[in-house]
Amino acid sequence: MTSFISTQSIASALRQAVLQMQSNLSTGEAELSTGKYADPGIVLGVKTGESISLQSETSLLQTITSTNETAATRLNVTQGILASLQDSAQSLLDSLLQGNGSNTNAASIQALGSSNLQNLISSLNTSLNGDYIFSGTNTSIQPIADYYAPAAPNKAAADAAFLAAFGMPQTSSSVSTITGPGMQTFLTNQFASLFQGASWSSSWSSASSNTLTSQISESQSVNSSISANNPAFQELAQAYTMIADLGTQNLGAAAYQAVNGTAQNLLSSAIGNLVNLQANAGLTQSTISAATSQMSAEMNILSEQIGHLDNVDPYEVATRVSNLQTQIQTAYSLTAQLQHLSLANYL
Amino acid sequence: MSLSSAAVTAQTGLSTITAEAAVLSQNIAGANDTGIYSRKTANIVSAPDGSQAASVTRASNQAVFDNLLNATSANAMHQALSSGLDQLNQTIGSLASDSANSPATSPEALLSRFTNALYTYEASPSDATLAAAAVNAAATLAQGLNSAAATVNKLRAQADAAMAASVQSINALLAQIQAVNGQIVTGTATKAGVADAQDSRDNLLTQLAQQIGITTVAGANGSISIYSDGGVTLFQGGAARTVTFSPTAVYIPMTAGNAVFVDGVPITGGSSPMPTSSGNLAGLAVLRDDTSVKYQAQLDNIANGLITSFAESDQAGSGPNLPGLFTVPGATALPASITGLAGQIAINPGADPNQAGNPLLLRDGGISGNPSYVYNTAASASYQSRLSQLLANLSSPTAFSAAGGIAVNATLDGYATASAAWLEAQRSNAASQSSYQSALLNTATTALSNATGVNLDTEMSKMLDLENSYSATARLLSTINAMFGTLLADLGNLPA
Repeated sequence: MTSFISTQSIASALRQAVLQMQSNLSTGEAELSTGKYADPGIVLGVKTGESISLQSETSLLQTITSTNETAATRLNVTQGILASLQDSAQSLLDSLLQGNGSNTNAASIQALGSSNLQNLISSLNTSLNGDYIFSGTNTSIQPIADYYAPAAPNKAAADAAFLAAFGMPQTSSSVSTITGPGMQTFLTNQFASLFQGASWSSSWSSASSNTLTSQISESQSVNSSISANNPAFQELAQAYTMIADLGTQNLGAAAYQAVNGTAQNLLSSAIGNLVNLQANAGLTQSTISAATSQMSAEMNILSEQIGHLDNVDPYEVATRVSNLQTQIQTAYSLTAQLQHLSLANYL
Repeated sequence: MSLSSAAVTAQTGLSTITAEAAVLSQNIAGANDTGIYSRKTANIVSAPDGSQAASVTRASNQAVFDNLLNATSANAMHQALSSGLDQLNQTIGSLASDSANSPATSPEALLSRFTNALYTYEASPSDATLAAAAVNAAATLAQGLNSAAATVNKLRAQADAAMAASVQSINALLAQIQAVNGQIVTGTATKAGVADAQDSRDNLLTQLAQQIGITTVAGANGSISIYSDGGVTLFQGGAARTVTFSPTAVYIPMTAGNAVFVDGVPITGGSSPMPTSSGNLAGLAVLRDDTSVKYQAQLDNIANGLITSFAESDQAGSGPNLPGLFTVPGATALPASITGLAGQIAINPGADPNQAGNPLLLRDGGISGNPSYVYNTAASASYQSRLSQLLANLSSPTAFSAAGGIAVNATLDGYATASAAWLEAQRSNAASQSSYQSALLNTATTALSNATGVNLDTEMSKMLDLENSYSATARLLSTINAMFGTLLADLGNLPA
């Protein structure tokens, strides 16, 4: 039996084929130039969700990585300040120990205390990008009142306590009459309470005891700041103020001895606390850098996975495109030849 | 037998040959007809005076033609669905978030960008620039949802208009079929030629199958009956039924489009007892009443998720939760109904720096303007709790309404991702169905063309045969003429 074919279907078979191949060719060209599927949604279908969530995961990790910089910078600055505070506290402690309780160098010790106090205040008032880093969450407000500013509340409180205890200001020359036990009682009770609790918050510090937390990876968050309300700073402030502003240079030997001894105790305790703070900050720094490198490894894996989903095999596409070109050329020459294949040409 | 009867036979032969040539030239003219042209054959019967062209037969193959009708309907349905889904895909934009020339605009991508901005802001809560950046990202997200919702509404209105056009063309086609069918019935009864009328009826049937899936049943006298693929009668006993549809011009999320009726029976929509399942009309109905409604519900769910995640609770008393960063314009309470939220969601003017609002309220709370809803009562510049809480809200699973047809318990981001994946899955499915059905349609068209079409070469060779017969017959006539001449001349020479 002979099969019948209509002229229409001979011609349309080629037409359809050329159309189909041309549209495949344009897809192939787009894929070849971008290395990704021309229309990933059509190819991936429901797996599109996987590609999308991998991409948003990657961008979240990138965001966290870049915000980790903020926390790391803050901690670096904090570390530097803690180290310099520790140094200056140590050198004052050394001077006190060398003086061995004698008040011969009282004036120079007093000057050293005063400069350390100023240094402490300016260090704690350090700001980074407009944020006071020792203010806890209260970063818009300078944490420590400047003791040497006019009408400073901390200076006023210290003056009032001194006046109430001894009936004279610190600048009076009669401070030399203050007894050792009298001074010791003042230092341990009235004076010490200025640097604790409500008095500290009202006259010295505007900082919040809540420290900043940073989200350093998707699951981890760490404390990334130190508040000026930390006992280490309270002790330093107490020791420095004691030496700088209790009339130290005019005190009698016994009273000076009391100041000297109390300051030594406070300084050594403060130094110990500072070392702890530095260790904790260092730990946080290493946690952050570990989290960052962990995330960068994760991002590599994620981008590889995204590539598996979205990327085309360039060799496969190149072969496909060149095959299509050959096929289309064949179709063209067939069309031209079929033109001659008509009985009408031979009649 | 006489010489004159030979002449009559030769004459009849000539008219038979011209009749065949007429059919042949009709075939040649129809060879490249893109519609349906069926090969015609002249039937030659022997008569006392030689052979005669008695009738014209039309090549036909009902089974192959039915296949073509089915393939046409299925292809039209998937084409309609696929092009509608491509339009919805505009709401997704590019899938690759790093693509520079066509940025990803899917709700998921915008949500991810906003989440990142919020993370960045949480790391430095005192930074007003970062706060403004986060609020701007939120505004972009809200606008993205608005425009996605508008796209859905536009698509539904378009589908509705296309359904009206489709119904109109179904009615027009049925009326034409009625006329042609009448000709065929009359022609069959009077034995007149009906081949061309049958061709044009088949053409009309293919056009009708584009719009709605049909089955045909042949009746007496060449008449046909047409039923929809759901079983509703469209044409019977020579009378077309009326298809009715009242279009809806404007679509908002609550709008339910009208169904298409045939003789009062709905053939689209969930309440239809005999729904039509293929053809352009069915594709448009699915697009209007199912696909886009689900996608709308997903967008509304995302919008609602945003509003509730960012709602503020009363910090001083026990008042109701109020809308925070995300709200509906003019709202004084959390929205009661989810429907249509995607089209309305906006950021609260209280936090929008472009509307004289304060972006730092994102950190502090009290965006609604009520002081009892302020979280950062100590006015700390680096207050983080509220921001951490917002981020935790975003990443904790919430319940979504089942109207979206996808996961009901997921994180907001997970839900947005699932929504995009759902849309792409629908698209991918429609595209592969569409290309499969169009291949099937090609095959059916080719099969029908081969079964009933014209081959030019066959016709040409037939033409040669006819030419030969014609010249032979003409030769015969002239020979008879000569013989008559000889006879008449001889008659003249006879002696008187």
